[in-house]
Amino acid sequence: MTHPSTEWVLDQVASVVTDVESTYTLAGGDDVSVRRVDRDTSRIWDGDGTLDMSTSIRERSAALEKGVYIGAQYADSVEEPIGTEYDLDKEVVVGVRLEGLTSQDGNWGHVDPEGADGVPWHGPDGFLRRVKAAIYAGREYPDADPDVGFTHLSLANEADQSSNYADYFRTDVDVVFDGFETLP
Amino acid sequence: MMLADSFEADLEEAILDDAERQLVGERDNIIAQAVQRVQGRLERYAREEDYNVGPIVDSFTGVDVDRSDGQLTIRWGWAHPAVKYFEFGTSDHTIEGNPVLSFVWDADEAPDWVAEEFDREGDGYRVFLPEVEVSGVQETRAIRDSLNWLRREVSS
Repeated sequence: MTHPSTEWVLDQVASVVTDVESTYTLAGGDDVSVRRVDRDTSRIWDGDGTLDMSTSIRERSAALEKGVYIGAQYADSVEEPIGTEYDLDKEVVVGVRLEGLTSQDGNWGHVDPEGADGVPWHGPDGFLRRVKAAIYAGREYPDADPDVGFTHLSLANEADQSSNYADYFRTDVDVVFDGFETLP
Repeated sequence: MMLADSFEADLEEAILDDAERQLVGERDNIIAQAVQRVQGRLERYAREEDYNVGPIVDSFTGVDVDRSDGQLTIRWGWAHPAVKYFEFGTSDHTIEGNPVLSFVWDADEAPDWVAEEFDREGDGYRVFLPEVEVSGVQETRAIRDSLNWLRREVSS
């Protein structure tokens, strides 16, 4: 089952899908594709089918030739009673995983550091920054769970693993929602 | 009342003293708990999946504390190259030797053909192989969950 906070994150980055697709093209002239993946169920939002993003990235070359990916997965929630009424201080963590393959050196991915034959990963117009900005755009009172009144969110534990690979790009970052839950 | 000229610097030092004591100084300090959370998660995973995480736990670098210019910088980590696989997950993979892999295969775990083909060394057999198949590991999130816990501890 998809956690409402996972769904919120994927909805929030919808603008990245359209912005990147309308801004960047591949060497052949086709648009760069961005595909969102609900990792709670492995279902692909932009396109059909499922994708398991927990395996080795090297096994996903075929998928990464169809686009860059934004995966979101419910990771953790912590709550503790607060105040004299029966309310909870609540934190929910959603793990975001971004993956791409280069279009250079004979590869057919959708990432190009120069931005000519794909979307750049790093830098001011890069995919990573676009995703983070889209999430931060919803940082005030994010409506990410009907049972919780979140006051804000923050991004934490950004881990860029791209340097582990020659041709692949991969960055993990946690979205941390913070707020209160009123008990019935 | 007169304040000594050094009162601001003294206050800063006192606050840093207190932070350092709680984070790394006192018994069962906050960083020690954060480290224990990571290792506990890895060890639990190891028990569930019958995996040996001993070399990873043993590769803990210790806690390095640097205090200068009114800042407290604390570093800790695990130097073993496989720690990233346990944090982020990986699938079954093949490790190729350059040109061969050599290691001591524990006698309790080695299949019979290893005992027949290779010589005894220590608690197992010294093997030389062109490649080995390694089973995948799940994404444990051990370090990220520990850091999220640490942030909550420090901010509350």
